[in-house]
Amino acid sequence: MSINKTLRPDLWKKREDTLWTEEMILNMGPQHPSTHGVLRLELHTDGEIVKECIPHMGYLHRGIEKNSEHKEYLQIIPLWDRADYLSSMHMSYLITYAAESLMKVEIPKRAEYIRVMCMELQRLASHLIWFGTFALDSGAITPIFYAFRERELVLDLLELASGARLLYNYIRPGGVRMDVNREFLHRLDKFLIHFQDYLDEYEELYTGNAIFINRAKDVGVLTKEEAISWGASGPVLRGSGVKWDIRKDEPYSIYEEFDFDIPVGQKGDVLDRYNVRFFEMRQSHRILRQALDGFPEGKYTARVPTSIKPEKGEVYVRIESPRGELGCYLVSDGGKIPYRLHVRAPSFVNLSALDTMLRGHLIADVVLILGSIDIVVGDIDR
Amino acid sequence: MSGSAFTPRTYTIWEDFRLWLMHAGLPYELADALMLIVTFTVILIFILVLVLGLVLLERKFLGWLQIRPGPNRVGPWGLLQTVADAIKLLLKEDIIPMNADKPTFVLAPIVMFIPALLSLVVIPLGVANINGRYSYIVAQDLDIGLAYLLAISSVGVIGIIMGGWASNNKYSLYGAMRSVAQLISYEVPMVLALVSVALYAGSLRLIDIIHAQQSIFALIPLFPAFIIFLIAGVAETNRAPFDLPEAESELVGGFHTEYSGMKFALFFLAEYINMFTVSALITVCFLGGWKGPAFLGQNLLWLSSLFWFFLKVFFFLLAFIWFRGTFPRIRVDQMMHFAWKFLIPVAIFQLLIVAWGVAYRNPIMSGGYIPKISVKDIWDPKDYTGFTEFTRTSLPSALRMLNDSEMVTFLISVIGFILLILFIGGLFYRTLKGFAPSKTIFQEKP
Repeated sequence: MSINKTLRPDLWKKREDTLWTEEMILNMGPQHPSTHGVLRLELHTDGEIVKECIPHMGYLHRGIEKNSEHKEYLQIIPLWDRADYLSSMHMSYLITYAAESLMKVEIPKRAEYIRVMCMELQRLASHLIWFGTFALDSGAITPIFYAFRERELVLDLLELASGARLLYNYIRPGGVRMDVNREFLHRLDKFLIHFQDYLDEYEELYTGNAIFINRAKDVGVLTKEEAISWGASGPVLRGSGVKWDIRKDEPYSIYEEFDFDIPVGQKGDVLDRYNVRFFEMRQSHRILRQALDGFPEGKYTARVPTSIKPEKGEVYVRIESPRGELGCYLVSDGGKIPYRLHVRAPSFVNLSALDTMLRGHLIADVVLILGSIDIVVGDIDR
Repeated sequence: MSGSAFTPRTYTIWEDFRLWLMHAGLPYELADALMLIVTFTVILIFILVLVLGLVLLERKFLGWLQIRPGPNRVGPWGLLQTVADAIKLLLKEDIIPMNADKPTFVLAPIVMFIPALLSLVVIPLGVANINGRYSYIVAQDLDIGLAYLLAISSVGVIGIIMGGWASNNKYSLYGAMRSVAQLISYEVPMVLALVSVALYAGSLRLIDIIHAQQSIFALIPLFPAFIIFLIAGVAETNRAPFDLPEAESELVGGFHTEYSGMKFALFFLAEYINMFTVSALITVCFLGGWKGPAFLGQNLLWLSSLFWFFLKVFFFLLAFIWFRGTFPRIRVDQMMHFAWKFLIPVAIFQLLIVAWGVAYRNPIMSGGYIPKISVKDIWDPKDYTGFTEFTRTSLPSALRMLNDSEMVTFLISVIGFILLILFIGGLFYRTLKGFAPSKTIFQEKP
């Protein structure tokens, strides 16, 4: 661990008049319980106060983008499932959406409903795991067990639909891989009846705690302007008071048919981002209820060829993943494999705003702010 | 029994054991040596069993709080889990980091462990009735028991600093620095709360403090001191929500990041012994120690007194575990502000109240020990003999002894006490009231 002295001479200048003090560099990660994977934060600290934070990534780089240029579309989807492993439904829908935009195919209504239901369930699962780990970062060890209890129910539902619990490979061009059965609908109904109560339980367990509120309030403030100029998206952007949700502003799939609100924060601190995510869970619940009530009969997939060949052209599509704007830039030369496929990862862009958020805060706040961004390292590095 | 000036000789059961040996014909020196050996062995075994049980209790109780069964694989209901863990820790490789300050690194766990052990010496666990005389279950009944406990407990922090410094790890260093700030800050309100207790009981001897609570537990007249001591006690033992020195999610392991094997086990043992000591001290100072109905009769007084003592102690131990399962960690600057801006002023205020009560012969504020002369007489030098004699009476007769101005202060203190209880109840209500902001704050306006 060494510092480049030519880059930062101010740190090494010996002060004659006072006691010689210098900044200490603390490497948080890549093996640290609170960096949510293999992320390394280079913290320049003055005592406990963080002066600068430089995130170092690349520890989980798997070359998925380059790999995608050598595989057929149906083979790409399971690959991208592994990028943001906490929201694989959104990842596979993103690739599907990009490919479908260059194809002439009409998606059956039932398939779209299944997709939306799966994506919203995935959002719930992702936000639940965020809630648990965020509470763990703040030092409360109990909420994660309660969050995992409900996440288990969500995963059971997704398993009933797709056959897998984490990496689904379920949504594919044309529709979904297989139809949902009656038990899925029945259990989803039962789950939705109880889910609001679970949320109330979490909030009584954790949100109202004075220690938590004191720790989260006015910490890691990201103003509206800063959030926009950093390109932040998702709950980080909405927590800063910008009303921007791609489900509402640029509707994809059948999101325009549903009635839901977009929560926004006021100050852009950790507490706002926390509350935005909680409100999003309640909105997902609303969407799921509407989707279940209006669930149509029909086919679960359109007729598409086994080997998918989108037309020649390029397209940029974006969806709202639990972490923010998930975009895909696809260039197709009309062949079986994409010419170029690039994904805009929300975790990566949101992480770049970390330094702005935590300057002048304490080391204890670093883990809290990092937790409030809700990064997934697989999403950052791809 | 009179107050601070003359305290009669108290006996411990170990001295009874020595007496019994001497009756059996042993010379005094041999009996004394045997007594020391037996005392030492019993206390050591007691501590080991206690800590093993406490670790298991914590893991089980935390498991139940967190909707999981807790350890349940080793032995029936997981009872042997901590034994297995202890054996594992004993057999593990003893790793010393490459650039560590070796002697300090080795010494640190010992420096933390020994004072924890020593602090158990003065804690009275119960009382036995042997041939019509009371003998106390305590290793050594010191006159300055309270001061001894405070002195010993502040030595432990040196072990933490040594460990954090010697590890040559930045996380350990942060943990050590935090622990210095924390333990020194919280020692102040803790001592102030205990001074209130000492003033209330008129003695630093723990057994006297227990006897002063014959009619009413000190918990009720000294409620703010009790709350302060409870909070400061949690902070002194580095338990959640004050577990900043070993903050797992921030500093990995804090001062014991680099420790493994038996050295880590010593830190661990010390933490649990400290937890027990603080719980025992709360019990002794505020809940009347072993006081409770002797439901097994006078011959088995030792059993019922031990029962009451451990019932109260385990209530607080479970409360500590409950705190850990409930609260997020407090931040380092908030922790300091809380100690210096809230706890210490309240503790000083409490101390003034108790001093005022004792000076005006308020029977509630002085544990039923009423000075025979009032403040006015003390100020008059010709009657003042250098020390004050205390009499111990029941509440009605104590009230009859008071003059008019003292009666007024007594009534004021009763009213103030009721107001205080209401205030604290309101605080508790405000804190404990559950709410769900995401249901209300972010509702869209139509």
